Amino acid sequence: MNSNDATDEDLQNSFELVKKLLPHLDACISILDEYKEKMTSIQYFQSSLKDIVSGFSELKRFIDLVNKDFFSDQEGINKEFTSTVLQDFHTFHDEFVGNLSSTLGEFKRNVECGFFYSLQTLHLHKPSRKAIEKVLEICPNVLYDPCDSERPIICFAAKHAGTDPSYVKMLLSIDPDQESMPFLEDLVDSDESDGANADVNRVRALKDITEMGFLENRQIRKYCCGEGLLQFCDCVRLPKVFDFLCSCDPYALLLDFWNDKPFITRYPCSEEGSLWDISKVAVYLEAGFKYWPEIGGLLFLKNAEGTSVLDDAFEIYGEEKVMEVLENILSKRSDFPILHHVFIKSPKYKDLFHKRFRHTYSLLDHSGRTLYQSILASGTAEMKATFSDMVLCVADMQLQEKDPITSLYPFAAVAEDMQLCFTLLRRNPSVLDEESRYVVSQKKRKRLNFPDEDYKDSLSGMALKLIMQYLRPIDVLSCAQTCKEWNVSIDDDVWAGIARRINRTSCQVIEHAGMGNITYKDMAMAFLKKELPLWKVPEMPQPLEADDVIFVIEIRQGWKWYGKRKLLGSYSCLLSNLQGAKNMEVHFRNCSETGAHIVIPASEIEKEVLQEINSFRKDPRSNFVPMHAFQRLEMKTFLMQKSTGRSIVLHDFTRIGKYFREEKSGRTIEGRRFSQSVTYSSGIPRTHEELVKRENFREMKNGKGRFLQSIGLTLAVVPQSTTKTENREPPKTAKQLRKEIRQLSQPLEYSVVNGSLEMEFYKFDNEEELLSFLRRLPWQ
Amino acid sequence: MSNEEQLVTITSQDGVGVPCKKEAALLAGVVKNMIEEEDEDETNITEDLKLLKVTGETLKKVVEFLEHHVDEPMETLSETPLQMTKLGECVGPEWYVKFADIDREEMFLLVKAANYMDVPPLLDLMCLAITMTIMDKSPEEVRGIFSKVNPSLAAPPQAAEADVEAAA
Repeated sequence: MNSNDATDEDLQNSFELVKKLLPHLDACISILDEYKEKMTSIQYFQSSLKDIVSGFSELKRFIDLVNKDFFSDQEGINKEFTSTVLQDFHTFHDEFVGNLSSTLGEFKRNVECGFFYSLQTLHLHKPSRKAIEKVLEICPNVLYDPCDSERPIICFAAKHAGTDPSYVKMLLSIDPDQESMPFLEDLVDSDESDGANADVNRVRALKDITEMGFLENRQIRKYCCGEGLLQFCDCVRLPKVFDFLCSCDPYALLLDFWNDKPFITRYPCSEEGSLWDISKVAVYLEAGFKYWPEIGGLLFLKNAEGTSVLDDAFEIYGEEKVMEVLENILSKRSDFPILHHVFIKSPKYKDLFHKRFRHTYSLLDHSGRTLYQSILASGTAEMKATFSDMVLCVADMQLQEKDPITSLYPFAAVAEDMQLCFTLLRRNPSVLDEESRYVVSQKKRKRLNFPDEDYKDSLSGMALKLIMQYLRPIDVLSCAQTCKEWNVSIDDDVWAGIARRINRTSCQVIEHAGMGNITYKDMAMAFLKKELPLWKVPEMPQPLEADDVIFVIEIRQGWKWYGKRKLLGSYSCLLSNLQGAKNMEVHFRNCSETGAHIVIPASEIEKEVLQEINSFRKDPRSNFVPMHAFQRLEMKTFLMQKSTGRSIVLHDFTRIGKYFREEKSGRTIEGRRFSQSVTYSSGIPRTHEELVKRENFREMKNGKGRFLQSIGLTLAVVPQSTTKTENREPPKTAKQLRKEIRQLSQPLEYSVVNGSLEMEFYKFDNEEELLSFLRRLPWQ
Repeated sequence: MSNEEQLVTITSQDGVGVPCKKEAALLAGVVKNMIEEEDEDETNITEDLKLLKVTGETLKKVVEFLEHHVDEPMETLSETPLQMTKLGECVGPEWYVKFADIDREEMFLLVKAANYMDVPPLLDLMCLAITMTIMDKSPEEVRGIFSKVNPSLAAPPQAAEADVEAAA
């Protein structure tokens, strides 16, 4: 059609159409493209500008409508939008008709941008379902365009709005405008423009989507055109994303290979049609070792022609390059029995691998088999013929080891080879003479099958606990590691089962002791570590510092015939503060983190403590409270980690009286410095004899005393002035009080007199030593 | 009296005395050692050659084998490549094939006895007989055979629980 043939009516109609379609800007652009040929003069455009403005106003009203529901910064949005609109209209006015569509395209991007940034916080405003569906209907493509933060906005918003999940899933996996990639595909793919945090951000987004139920395992295997999402993943640039996908569905790794060819011959990696880059191959192989250790990773998978991945890799990349890659990968997994797999599945490469992985010769495979046992159990006569020398030259000890799976001795494991069977049996016929020296377990061992669709369900809770009962320690470890890799949680109940299974007696003792705060996971880990010394138990993330530990003292009523004993007070301070002899404020009934020197004032004692012991009358002459009143109280001391709440009980509730050395002489009771207990000796020795005695004690305790000396605790009963309150002198500092006590050469004729119960700590002799000890403590 | 004519009595763990030609008895390493020790002590060799791990029935079979082996030695099998699939093709003379035609339980007892008494030819024969019985069997089938004859042979290697309890 000739553009000159366009009439005013045509143009008016077109702009009317534009107005209706303005919310659908893509369509708008295409229509304008069609009609721009008809616009013969700027006048026509200008005359219709009013209609366009009207149309944009309609769009603006729509946005306003949406904003009312969930945009907090409505004014800002409107302003930005309006300015953008006006700016674009000025541009319209200045530009020629030929540029109209491109200008409108820019305008569209601005609108999308405005939507986009607002939608980033959409879910925070908890939009109504109606609002969400309106947005999805009008402008779906802006919702699943991954932004800088890679947050799956649509999923959050839809979740909050209660939108039909299947609709969201559809939006995530379709390509609405046929130009860009669908959200999920885009999320796992990458290009050079991605930022440094793209990998981390995208894993987070994928986790969000998975948790919200919008990503299913089957999509990882089969997503589009027969390909799984895993195949779309840029595993080199986004290794964490790749790992996450593998962890969600390890089967997806194998499916590639169960098609016609192994992966490296299946997917060209570049436009020139060359094969995968070796770095990509390395990522796949590493994931294979991680998720499929039982079958030796992906190396030995074969295609229809019987060619293994290893064969192909050697052919394509060369032995040297492939072996380098494998060495790099397996150097991180030094406990992977690669030789077992090579000897059995690709014996032709045994010498090649043996040279490089000699250290794996003595490892056990996932079944607990030695290399020798694996060869015997492989079943094929050719295999045994290949390794007959090795089989025949085996040590006598090995001839007496049963296969951990079949429970057969080596001679019986090679029953199909008469010569071998006879030779092995003849070499060591004593295996038939086995008396019942082993306790024959009636329990049948079960092996975990490869994960299936519902593996998470089958491995959680009680089912897992039951499985654990049938496993040996090494299997338990293997199971725990597998669960960790698959993100299957093992609850405390299961861990308790593991701990009991490995060391039932210890668990019974601990349970009987009523240690409610016991962590069975830690126990199980410790037992496993004992059973399997090579297994590395993860260390604490960061070393414990004195600042992380609180020293806590609790005092409660003493023993009673009936009734609950009342907790009278608790006192605490940071362990680091104990290093200095600071005077601290009074703390009563509060746990605070200040205070190295805690003094409970007399008034508080009278109010709280002595109330409980009022059966003891004060001495009318001195207004003293007898010493043994305090002795009936009980005290508990413990260290507690601030961050985790894990604790070490230094001394469980015992009578304070134990800390007093009583020397009765007539009416005299001596109150003096006391050791907290024999176990937790403390305080400053006052005499040379005492020092020697303590030193001997420390030796006897094999160094335990050093620690005890370091965090020593001394209880002392400190006399105070008995003058009336109004005339009382300023309270003495703890230092002064301490000094006074030390200056007393004669035993006090009383114990506490309207005074304070003072708890005094001494600074650590050696902080490093203390910290080192703290870090080694069995925190509960 | 020569060794050929001299008799010794070997006593089983259940007190069954089995007379045996001394020449034949000397084929068994254990008996030979006993006899040599008694010779040095100049004691009566006909007394108390007691075997603590062999029952009377099994001992009779062993003695039968020993006495026949003196008269008609069995071919040595240990170093012969075994290509055959039947016992008769591997062992000669025929008497030994018939001797080995016994039930599996008895085979195992004889292996144990031969191992204990140190009778290499009998050990060869019985090991070969056992090999024949499990030849070409799958591990499961072998386990089935063993579990009937001697359950401990098919039992799991070691119960971890038992270990732990023992350690505790």
